[in-house]
Amino acid sequence: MNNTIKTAIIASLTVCMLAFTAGTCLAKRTIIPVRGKVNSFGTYSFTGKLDFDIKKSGEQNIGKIIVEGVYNGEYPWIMRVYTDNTNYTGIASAARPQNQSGLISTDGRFSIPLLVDAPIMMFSNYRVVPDINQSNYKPYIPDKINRAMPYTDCIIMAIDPRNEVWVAGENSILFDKDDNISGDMTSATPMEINFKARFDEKAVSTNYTANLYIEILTCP
Amino acid sequence: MRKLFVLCTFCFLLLPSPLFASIEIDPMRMELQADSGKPIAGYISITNRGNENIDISLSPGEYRYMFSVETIYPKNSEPQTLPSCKNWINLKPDKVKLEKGKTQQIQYSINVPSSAKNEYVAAILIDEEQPAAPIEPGTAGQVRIKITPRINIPVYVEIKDSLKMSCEITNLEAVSSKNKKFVWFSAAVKNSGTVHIRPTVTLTIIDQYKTVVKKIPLGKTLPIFAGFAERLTAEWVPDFTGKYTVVATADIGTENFAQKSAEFDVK
Repeated sequence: MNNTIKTAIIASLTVCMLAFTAGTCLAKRTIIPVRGKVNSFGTYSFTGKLDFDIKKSGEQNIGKIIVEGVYNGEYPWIMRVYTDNTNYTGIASAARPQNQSGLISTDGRFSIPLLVDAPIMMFSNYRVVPDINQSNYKPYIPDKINRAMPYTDCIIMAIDPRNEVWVAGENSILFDKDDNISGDMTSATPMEINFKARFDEKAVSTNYTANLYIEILTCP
Repeated sequence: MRKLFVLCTFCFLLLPSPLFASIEIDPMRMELQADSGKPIAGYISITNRGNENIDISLSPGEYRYMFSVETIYPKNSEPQTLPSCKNWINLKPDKVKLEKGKTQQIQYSINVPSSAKNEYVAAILIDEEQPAAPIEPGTAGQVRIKITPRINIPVYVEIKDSLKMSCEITNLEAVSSKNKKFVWFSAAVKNSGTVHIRPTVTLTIIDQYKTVVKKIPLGKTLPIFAGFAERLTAEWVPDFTGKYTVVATADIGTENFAQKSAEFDVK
């Protein structure tokens, strides 16, 4: 076999292999037009557990979650906490308004508000963890100075330069040296999120569960 | 001392504290274009950056809103929902056991119905699954909370047949403050197309001698959906009195842009 034939065979084999590889790649991957793409640069990790045994009535600490890491995604973004208690049934024809947020009794009929505290809450201290299915649930929108908070979302960390209250800094005055221009409400980690609940005397007679989500709501 | 260290380490290992490891997701946003009646597909890659193996589940969800207080809703009513494509999304696999340091490709497919037009939104929810401690039978007063860290990917599906990207500046105001220290500007940018836009808005201030005295970049907005508008504001401290013109420019990156001008006096 002379060199020309050898070269021709090698070339045809190479072309066949390339064609096969390209064919399988195209079969595996569908090319779709994408208008924008954002890569993540990291995220947070969460350590801890919220298992608690009710020994007495009254307000009691349930436990804490330790947050570590950093999320450097495009902003605005928020980290929020909520429950998704699909097992709540409530009491038929109950006189008082019912709410599926918090801790739910194992028979699905009763709920106990779950409270959370994180460094971002500063002076307001513990806030009620909402349930994402509750009828009056209002997702986060940026705050404005001198306006009551218009959302039920419970924020743990966030960066949002549109939020006047966050940008204004600790003195709540815009356009001064105290301003936090990017509305950066992230905390140095490790950081604790603490939970508590108020149990009445009847609470000890049953068990409680909850589906708690800590969600990073990325920049849309 | 060594015995104490070993004991401490052993005790630490016995502590029942689950670790929710870090994951990285690529892409973090999906803006897709599709023909009505034709499915589209692609991949999401998830990498476990933590130091433990983790279980992940994926599910389609509703779009997570992040409107601003300056959002102007169509017909001045706050809609609770945009057209949703949640039910069109399939994920395969939707449950993954991911070893530390490993990456898993998740195939998504979106079945676009033939009646689809304009734009639809949804989210893909990525959960790190960690079972709650079980409730022990026969004992009351137990509280067991299942904690799930969640990241969402916003999904936008634009239908090619009806795709139109355009915007207009519906209102531009320039108000000089009474003490003449600053001028307040407000520009309302409305989406007059069929799919969301992310306009980059700039204010240009021109004096009575046609000289550009200031350019104020207002940045790129978050998505403005069809029929929605966003109000953008800025302040400017003039150096001199006189008659001025402000020109607002909204660029949506399609080689056409919207402009509007307004005149104002600084006395």
